[in-house]
Amino acid sequence: MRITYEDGREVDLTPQLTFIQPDDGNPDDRTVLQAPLAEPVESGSKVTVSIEWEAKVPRAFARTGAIGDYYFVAQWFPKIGVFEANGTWKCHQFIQTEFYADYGNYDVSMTVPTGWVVGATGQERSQQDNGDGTTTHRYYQEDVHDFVWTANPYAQVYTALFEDPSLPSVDMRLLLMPDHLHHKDRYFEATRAALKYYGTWFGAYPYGHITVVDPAYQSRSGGMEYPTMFTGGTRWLSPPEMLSPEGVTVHEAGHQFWYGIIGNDEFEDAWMDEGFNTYSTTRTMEAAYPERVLTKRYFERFIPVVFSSVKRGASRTAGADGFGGFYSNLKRDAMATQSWQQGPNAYGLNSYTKPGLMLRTLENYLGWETFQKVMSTYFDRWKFKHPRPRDFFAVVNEVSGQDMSWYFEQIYFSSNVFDYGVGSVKSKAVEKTKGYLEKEDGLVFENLSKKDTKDGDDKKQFLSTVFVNRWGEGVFPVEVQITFTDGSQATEQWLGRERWTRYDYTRSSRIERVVIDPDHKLTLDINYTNNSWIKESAAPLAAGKWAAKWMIWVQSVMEYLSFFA
Amino acid sequence: MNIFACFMDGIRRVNSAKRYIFVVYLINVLLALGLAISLGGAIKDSLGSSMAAERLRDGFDGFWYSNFSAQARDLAATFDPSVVGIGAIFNSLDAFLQGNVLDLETSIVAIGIFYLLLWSFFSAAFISIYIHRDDTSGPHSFFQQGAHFFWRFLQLAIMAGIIYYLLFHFVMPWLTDRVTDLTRQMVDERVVFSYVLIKYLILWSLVLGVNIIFDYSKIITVWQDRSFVLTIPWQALRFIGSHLVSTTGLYLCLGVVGIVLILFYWLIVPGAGQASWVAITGVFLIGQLYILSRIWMRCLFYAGQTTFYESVAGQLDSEPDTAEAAIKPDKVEGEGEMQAEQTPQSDLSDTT
Repeated sequence: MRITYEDGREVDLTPQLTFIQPDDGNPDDRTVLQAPLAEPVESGSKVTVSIEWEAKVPRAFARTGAIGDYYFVAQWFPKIGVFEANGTWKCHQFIQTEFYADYGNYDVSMTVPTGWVVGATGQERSQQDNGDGTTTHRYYQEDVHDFVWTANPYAQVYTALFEDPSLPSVDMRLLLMPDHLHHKDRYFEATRAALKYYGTWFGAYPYGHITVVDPAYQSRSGGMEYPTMFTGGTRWLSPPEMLSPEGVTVHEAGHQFWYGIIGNDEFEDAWMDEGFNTYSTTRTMEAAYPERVLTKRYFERFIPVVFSSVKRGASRTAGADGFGGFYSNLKRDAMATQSWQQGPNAYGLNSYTKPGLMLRTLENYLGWETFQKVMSTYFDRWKFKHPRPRDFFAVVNEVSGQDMSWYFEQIYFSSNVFDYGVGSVKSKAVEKTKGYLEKEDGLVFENLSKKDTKDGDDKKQFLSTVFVNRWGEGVFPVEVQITFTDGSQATEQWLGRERWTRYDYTRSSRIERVVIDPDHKLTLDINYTNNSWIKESAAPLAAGKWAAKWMIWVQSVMEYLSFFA
Repeated sequence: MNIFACFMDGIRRVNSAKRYIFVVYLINVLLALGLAISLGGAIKDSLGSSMAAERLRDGFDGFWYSNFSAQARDLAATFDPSVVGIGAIFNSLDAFLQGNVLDLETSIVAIGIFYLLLWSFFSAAFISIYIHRDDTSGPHSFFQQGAHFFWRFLQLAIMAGIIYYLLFHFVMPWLTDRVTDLTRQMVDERVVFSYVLIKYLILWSLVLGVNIIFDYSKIITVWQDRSFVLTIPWQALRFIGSHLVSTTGLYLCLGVVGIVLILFYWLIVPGAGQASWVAITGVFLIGQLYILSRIWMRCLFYAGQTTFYESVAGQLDSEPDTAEAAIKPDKVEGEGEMQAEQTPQSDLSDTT
């Protein structure tokens, strides 16, 4: 490693190089290299750093490496740490997070066997046949914070153009493996969907070109984002209902926006790209691929089967019901805990799902129009920069015109969970007046209930009481909707601060159903099932139906077991 | 007797003793019903009075399922919406093909093993009545024969179980390792898939090979009323080896019928849309018909193979050594000339 100063002096830094372990002190960790300078670099001055290194391409793992003649080369060069505005270097060890780097210009030449297909960050500027069976491909890209490349002799290359009246066009280049040729159009359509919806909602894709790499089977390089290039992933047999490659393609193409253009620190705030992108992916998938049905893979996951009669379960940002509530990883760490420090299983939850739910709930609370402005303002203000969480919160407050600190305090800074539920619901006939009434001729005994009986039940009044509870620590305003047997409704707005509240009604009909948060705005609610109550429960029928289906599975298992008799 | 004749004769024999198939089916239902009631209770409790029940009744409810599955333990944890329609069969078939049936939830495996033991009893009874060719002997004889041979069939089941264990716990991992080694550098899923198919072809050739040996071992045990069963699999192996084309052909033919049965069920079984007791019951009954037909198929395997064995061994029973006779090779091209009709009593009198 050499450093060249403006005056032409060149200093070899190699003897001073040492591996450091700023996070855990593990002496075997060699992911951060420190190069102390002999003299400081003055503010405003310029130095040139030259690094020579050799790297052995490993067998494919952790989304980099080679398998057969398929090379996917990511995180392959010494990446300069980010020098923060506060004068410190941001250089975490590579433990469980993704990455962080500054924006720059990349001019990279790769020499590979002639005839191989090459894909890389940026666009190819030139190709030079070296006459020795190799060809050198030169790629160039400005304003990106990483560079990745791939080379193999297998892929077929396809191109297509993304066009939208309100957005700049984008050249799409797809490197497709032979066993996935039949998925070509699906890759392009999914990429189009991401460029269209992200571009319309948040901000236009600025680079004008994008490379989609269909990863080789077993290459472990699928589903990863890099500037202007990403890897999708699918299987040889993948019916359209499986939404593979669509799901991963939308997600990774979406990372061009949240990660590529908004360059947050993934070491510390992974949620700022993964969470934003989870939210955005779900929204895009809902718009572009609204039909979601259950699918399953059999026979070592080679054979897919579609269960079109079963609408697929809740999507990632539709609800927090699948996380075990109070006894789950939701309670392990607050989102504010730096990503590299999060406890077991908390990283994924706090980087992807919970922030996705946080944004979805915020959208529901502010309304899409306002929230879209929040997102597009944040995108515009922070593109090609390194925003921190507080920067996003500030944009939310500014654009919405509300102080949303109460919201972020609960969701970002704490591990509180939200759970509103219907407590008890009662309707009983009102006891009519029975006793002495004071009249002109003195006290007279009256039994009005007899009159009611004579007139029939339609005059009967019912006193109905509804208790609703806040089981979780989280507080969020919710709507409570009560429907009566005559079809009339009452809608209550509950700020949700108390642990419980009650509503009383005297009406001519009983309560038929109660729903808290009928529009499911609070997607962070860990148990949406207890949000409703219905007089005539369908539970016996529903349970009977699914238990009957399950029973056939058990019977079939028994039959297969008896094969061994 | 050729394969088709054995097949058809097997059907006649199975249908002549239908009522016992219903007995086995009834046991299957009762055992599974207990677990289903337990699961149904768990689902019902989880739904409570919520409106999720309506959604689950009309189709499915992802929010409820997410919550339920995140907290489900033991039996409830085995519930998965993919049990809908053909999924109930594919889920079990998948576990079966990969040798994972014993890895399922404990109570299901326990009941399955109990059912397996019952089959040791019933397979003896079925083979006995199939050798007698009709159901004239009545229920008393059916159960008596089951009891008579049970211990011997159990010994055969244990022997078979040990071999199956070795196949699934040693041969299969070894094959998996070989496939992994061979496909390590392969980037085309289709090629890897073909290797995996070959792996299962080898594994299941062995498993089915063992199964066919023990099927004929059971038939020989009943046919000869042998009390010492340890050597019978060897005898069965020699018999199969001597009539390889016919025995395996018949077995595969029966297997194909089983596969057609699954495909037919796949074709007709409805999905998740039933919202009334009538519709639910209708779909349940279709499933029960499938289970019933599986038991019928199982019996057809025994009956068809019994017919074939009988046609060979019975023909040669007139010779002095029955055991030797049972393994004498048939002439494949002359199978049709062999006599099918035998009198079991005379065959049994020659044994031991």
